[in-house]
Amino acid sequence: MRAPLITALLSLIFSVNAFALNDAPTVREIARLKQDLAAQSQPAARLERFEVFRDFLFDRLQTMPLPRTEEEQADFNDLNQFEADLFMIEAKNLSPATCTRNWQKIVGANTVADESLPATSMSEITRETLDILKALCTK
Amino acid sequence: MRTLPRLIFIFATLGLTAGFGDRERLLAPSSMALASSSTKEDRQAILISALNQIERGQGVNKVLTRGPAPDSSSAAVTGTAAAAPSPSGNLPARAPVPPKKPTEIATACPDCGPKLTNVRYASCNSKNNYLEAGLQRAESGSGLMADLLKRGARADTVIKPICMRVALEARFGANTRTFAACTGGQNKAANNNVRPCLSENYFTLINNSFDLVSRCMAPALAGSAADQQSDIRAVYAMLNVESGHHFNIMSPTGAGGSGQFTQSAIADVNKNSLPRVRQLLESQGGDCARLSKEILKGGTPMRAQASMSCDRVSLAKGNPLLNLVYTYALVTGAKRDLKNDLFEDRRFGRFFKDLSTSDQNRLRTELTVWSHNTGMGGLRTPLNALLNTKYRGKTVTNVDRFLNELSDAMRTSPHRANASRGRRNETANYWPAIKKTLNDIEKNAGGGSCVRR
Repeated sequence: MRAPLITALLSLIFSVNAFALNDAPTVREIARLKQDLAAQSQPAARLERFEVFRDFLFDRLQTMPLPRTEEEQADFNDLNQFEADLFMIEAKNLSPATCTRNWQKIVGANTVADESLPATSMSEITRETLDILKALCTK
Repeated sequence: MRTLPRLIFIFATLGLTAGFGDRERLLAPSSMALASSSTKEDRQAILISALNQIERGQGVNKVLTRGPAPDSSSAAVTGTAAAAPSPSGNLPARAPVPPKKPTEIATACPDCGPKLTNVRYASCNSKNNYLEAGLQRAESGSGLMADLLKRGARADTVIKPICMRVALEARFGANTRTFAACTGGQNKAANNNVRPCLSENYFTLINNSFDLVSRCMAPALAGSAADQQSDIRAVYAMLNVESGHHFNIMSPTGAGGSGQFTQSAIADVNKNSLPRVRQLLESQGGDCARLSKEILKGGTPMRAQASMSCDRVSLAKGNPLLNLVYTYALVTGAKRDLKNDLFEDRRFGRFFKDLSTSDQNRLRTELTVWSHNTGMGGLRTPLNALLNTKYRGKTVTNVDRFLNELSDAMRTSPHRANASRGRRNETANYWPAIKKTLNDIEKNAGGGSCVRR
């Protein structure tokens, strides 16, 4: 009796914390982007590839069907949060200093801050952005 | 004051504070949680008391009477003293007295501005006089703080003194117990004091400090003098809601001082803004350079840790000047980020191309002020959602309409961390509340803008 309850609770927890982007075309493009960035050693070419992805995401959000249900609205909000995070990356010139600054900026913009509360862990959306930033900044 | 306007003012203020106080928030220095420290009845009583005081003669219309201005017969609280442009076209950093040398114009000087005279200030009592000894010590000492106090309350400030006086009474009642005191070199503030006595020294320090820091930071806000003035008005409006301009206010959540700084926001300024701010201040010379050398001294002028909360609120640590410099540093940094990431991005920039330069500046400033409560992520998520729905294939042509729509988007498309009901309401209401408070203060201060044009 207890095992199914624990399983149900765990699945509930993981469904909340699981990767929040459910838009299939975006998820596919993120995977391609990461693959391409990992394969590219030239920083300028990585930046160019990143800009192509940002164009894709911008176009996707400007043209995708508008949400009609609560669930679709929640997915749409997550995608907007991802876009907002991603466009905080100042990608004109990537150096160790600008990479650090971008990192701080994204973490700072998405950190729950209140001295009376412990900082909650970052959302998966922000982690995804930081993964992309890491891939961009890796030599 | 007649009954109807008074009731409108009371209900407006009650309305704009309702619903605030949810504790979780994205990184942002503000603390609207103070609004939850008293009940609606308390707030109503406080407002009635404040308004009665104004009627009894402690009010601004009678308190801030115009006295003889030593350098300019027209300069006074009535708004007749026009600000002279500096050689660079930016907001002048000193009073509009005829300059002897062009180089003097950009330098804030201790004794050259017209002063408020014939002013009656509040009488202090044993409960609210706890800052008075410190203020007197500061005045009799040396340095920038002493000069600000010795020169008396200036009449030619960018924000009219009458507006500052109304603001000091509009947000918190005389008996609100969320004010901090730091005595005997202690580092952590205890916030169980009542609102400090609105004495001459107290008013002088707040009035002159906001003016000096605003003028010195203005070049980082905007290019033209008109846009700088508009930005200073927006920051003034933000502080009306955040702290009521009281530098020793301390939220139960720990946010402290004029700009209601939290640990994360202080760390952000320390990490990302201090060198740029020091350079800006020192390049202007005069009192601006003294702000850098005397107030931003040491590697970390304001320590971020909660255990050092006196850095945010205490007179001995250089407040309100220190907290105000940090506030402007945060505002200018956020405004710069919005410019780079949104307005000058080749994809998003097209949404704003039909706005005039001045309207673009206004929108950027108002979004920046909004982000003081929502955090930048908390602003950008609903903002992007708005641009990705209502503005598909369109451009923004009306700033006010856009801001109203953004308020709605904060309810329908919040950042995950602002998704609770309380935070949705708080973030959606933040800018509208600031605007409403400003309108009420301007109305109660005699009408017209609080900015001296």
